[in-house]
Amino acid sequence: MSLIWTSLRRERRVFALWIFCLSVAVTGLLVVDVFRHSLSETLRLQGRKILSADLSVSARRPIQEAEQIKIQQILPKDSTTSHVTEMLAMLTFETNGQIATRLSSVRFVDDPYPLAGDLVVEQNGVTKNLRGQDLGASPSAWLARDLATLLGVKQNDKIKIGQLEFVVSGWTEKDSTQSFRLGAMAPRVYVHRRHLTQTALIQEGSTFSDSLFWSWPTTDLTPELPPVKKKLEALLQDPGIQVTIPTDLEQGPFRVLSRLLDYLGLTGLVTLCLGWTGVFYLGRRWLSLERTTTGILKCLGLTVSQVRLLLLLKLTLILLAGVLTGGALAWSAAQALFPLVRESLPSEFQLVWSWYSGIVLLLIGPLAGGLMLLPLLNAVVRQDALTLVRGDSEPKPSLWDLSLTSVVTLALFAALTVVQARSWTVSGIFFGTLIGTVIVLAAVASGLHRFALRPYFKKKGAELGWLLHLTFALWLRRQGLLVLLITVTAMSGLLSQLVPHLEKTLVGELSAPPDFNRPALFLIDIQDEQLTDLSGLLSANKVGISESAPFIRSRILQVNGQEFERKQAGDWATREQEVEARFRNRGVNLTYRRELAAGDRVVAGKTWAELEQSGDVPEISVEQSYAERLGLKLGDILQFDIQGVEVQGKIANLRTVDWSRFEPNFFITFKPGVLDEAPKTWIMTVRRSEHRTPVETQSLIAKEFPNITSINVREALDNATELFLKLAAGLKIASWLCLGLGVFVSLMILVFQLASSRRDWHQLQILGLSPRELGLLQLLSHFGLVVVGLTFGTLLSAGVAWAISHFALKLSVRLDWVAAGYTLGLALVCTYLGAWWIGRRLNQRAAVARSL
Amino acid sequence: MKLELVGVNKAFRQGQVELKILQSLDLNVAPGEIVAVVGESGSGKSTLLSLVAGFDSLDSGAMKWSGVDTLSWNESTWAKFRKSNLGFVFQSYHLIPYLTAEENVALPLKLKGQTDTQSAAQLLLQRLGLGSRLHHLPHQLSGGECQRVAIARALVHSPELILADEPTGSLDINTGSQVLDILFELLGESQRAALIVTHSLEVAARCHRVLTLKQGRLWPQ
Repeated sequence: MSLIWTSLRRERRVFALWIFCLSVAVTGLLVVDVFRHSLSETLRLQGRKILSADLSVSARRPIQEAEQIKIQQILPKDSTTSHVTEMLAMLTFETNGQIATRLSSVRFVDDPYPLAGDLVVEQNGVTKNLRGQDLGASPSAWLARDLATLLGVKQNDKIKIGQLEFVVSGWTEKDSTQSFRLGAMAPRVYVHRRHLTQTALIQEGSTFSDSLFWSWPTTDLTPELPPVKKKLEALLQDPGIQVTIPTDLEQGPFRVLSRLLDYLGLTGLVTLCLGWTGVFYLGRRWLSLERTTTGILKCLGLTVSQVRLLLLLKLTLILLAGVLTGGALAWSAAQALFPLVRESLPSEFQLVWSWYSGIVLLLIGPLAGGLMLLPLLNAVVRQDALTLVRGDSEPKPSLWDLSLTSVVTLALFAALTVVQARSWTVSGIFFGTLIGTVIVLAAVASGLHRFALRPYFKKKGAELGWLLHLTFALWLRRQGLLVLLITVTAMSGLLSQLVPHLEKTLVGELSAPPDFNRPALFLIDIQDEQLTDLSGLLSANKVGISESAPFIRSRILQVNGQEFERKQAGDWATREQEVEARFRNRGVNLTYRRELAAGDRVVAGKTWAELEQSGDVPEISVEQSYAERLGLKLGDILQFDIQGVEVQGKIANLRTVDWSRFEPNFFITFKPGVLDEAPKTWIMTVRRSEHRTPVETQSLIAKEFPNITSINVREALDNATELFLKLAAGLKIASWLCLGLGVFVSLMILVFQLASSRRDWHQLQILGLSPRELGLLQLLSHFGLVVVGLTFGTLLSAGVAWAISHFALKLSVRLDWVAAGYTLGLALVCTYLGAWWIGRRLNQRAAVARSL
Repeated sequence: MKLELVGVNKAFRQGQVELKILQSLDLNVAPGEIVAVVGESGSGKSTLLSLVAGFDSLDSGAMKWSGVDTLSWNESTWAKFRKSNLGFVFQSYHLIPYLTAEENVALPLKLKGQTDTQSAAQLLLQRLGLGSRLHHLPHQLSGGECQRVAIARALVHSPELILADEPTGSLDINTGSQVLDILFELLGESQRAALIVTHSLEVAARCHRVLTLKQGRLWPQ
């Protein structure tokens, strides 16, 4: 120990550098992890707001008291409960001196509602957060502003819901349960549940939804909720009862974001690998410095075991010091970074430290890096003392040691992927893909070496100037360096640039094309005979119609003569079967149009112009992912039931739909002819007008056409997009950290490569190269490899982003070349500056003099 | 090209202590002259070589090459000077490990901007008995072979002065002797000057003049 302590003290500059590098790697890794957990928690809180609780149990029948007691036994004792009943009910009200009625969604809530999230209301110009208990003892109703506009009612007006009259108390301004799904976007009325019986809305055969909500004082319940849900589903056994937790509500882009977070967690593992590489390189350099001392100690009589123990103790001490310093730095760095990026993140975002994942990463991460050093350490202690002292022969690790360490390291890494992904399948795919990618990258680098550089150098080497000659020679005869640098930088380039590409793809799903004015209002239930008058009204008031389309409700009866619907409700063996059956049985809306919609693109089969309506079976166009989900293919004949009339259609083409346009989009489309006379309504989208606000347009339509429902989609879309962009910004920050770590590791490799070949550089200086020429050579030979690696990683990231978007997310890829360019540029500048600085220190005259 | 050092002083500081390595040192090396510098370990022989090659600067005094004072020379001037006028031979060979024997020898010519470098390098190596080792990397050569490559590299671009630091220090007696034969033969043929730092009496005996470095000064023997 005394020897170790003396060595650590006397060579403190070397060890301090190692501890510094190690702690930076550990810091990068942990900060990425902290951000990932924080974002994950933000997403969970978002889901909790949409659900308004931690867990809900709902059914299309009253939930019995016995069931409630059973549920309560599984849930934590300190949970708070809320009971909500929701249904479509007829509202009766007076407008323009006339009595009118309208079917609307009514939510009956009790005192504790909402258990989570916001229900912001406005009353007499004052906004406040509403709780169920504030709804008042006398019957009072709070209407969504859209709905109030549509009905033409004012504050203190009276509306009748079922048999009971309510006073309109105010408007709901913000309802966090109004989510991105069209069903949940519909405006609703809030009343207290104590009036439910008096409304007499629940009768024999009434359709309603009864829901119980629970929440707990503790907020971090994410890992426990899925098992609780499973237990409840097993306990209740009724497939008609639906158990929902916040993560179930991650929908559309948010579900994809959630997947991206999983991806980021795994990305953290790749940064860990980069960290391992860094630790390994530091260790290699340290062992090369220890060789002479080890030889001398052996000469002085220490046994191989004693020398090994000495080196192992030293290694462990350094790793521990690095890990502890890194752990402390990580939290400080996260705290310091947070205020800088707070504005770009959602308001719910709080830094969350996952002790479990932190400790696992700290213990396994750097120690595994040390483990990779063991074969070399063994080779050093086994080499004969005189060879060690002379330092003229590199110790070669034994094949057995290398194989054993590789297996153990890979097993540790695989275990870590399981811990991070919490799934055997995801971790398996990730592990396989990662190993595959590294092999491909290494093979490409080797191929570049073997099939491009070597033949070129053999043929043209003699004609090259000294700069290119030396660069090529270095690359050719240091194959390990070439493969390693290209692989490491390509991996970090790939990972850091994947997130911007995926983010752009996802944002693209939410944002309209640049030249497209997305609709402000969505109008439904337009009767055939109202279409002309409505269009006339809108154009007279300078409000543009974006698109209108006939809307025909139908069911698919048969596909190629086989029954399509799943009829035995309640006999489903699994929930997947239940979901599938519901999807098939819920019916399908048809339309017909002369031209292909602006956002549609035919991807298989006949062109739109070639579709025929005159043959035995009219030809139809089907949306590609809908066809995939139902197992439909080109040539299949579908039989539809349109209000008792059977119509056939043959799938003649498949098309993709740009859902981001939020225009009337349909899974199945005919051409005019067959469905012209079918019973139908129309749907229409209205553009934002410079002359009228969406609310004014809604009033205008409601006044003339009270039966038409208008939904303000613009606001909901803008809010969702804003939240998504903020969450994506968090992801981007974490991905930048990954890149930073990648650049740092590459720099470390450069530092130690340049430092370990210091004498070679000095030789060139002795032969007459000026520091500038030498710096140029160092940059070209090493920085050149980083350029090759990062460029390759950039191209690969585009390919991988396409594959993920196409196969996993089922979205059209949108590549963010601008962000990729910036990231690449920044990484190159950092590496360049780093390499330049290292070179400058190496090429000092005094250093050359010392090496003489 | 004549080398002149007049009243050169050089000291290093180690903590609070100042070590005076060279004190009022004078040295002249005429064109074609081979000078040996001997002295105890730590007497300042390697420091003297560093100063002559421009890797270290004088504290005071003057160094002139053919009468031109080097005081105002910057890094680039020194680099340019070394490229054309100096050749080095070291105790530990110091070949570039990723260049073959032929490429190592051709390197000084390449650095000078010459295009046909192969033939000159090959000729010289063949003459030194390394015709069959042209494409071998340094780690594939023996110590004697490496030193012969190093000598070829030091002479291939016809420099004015060869600086040699213990050229046979890492070799056994026989190999060392063979290497010396080659070195002196080539120096004699090319009429190049050399400043050889050595402990070896055999090496010193073959030089035109022997100087001892003691107490920071050179004393004739």
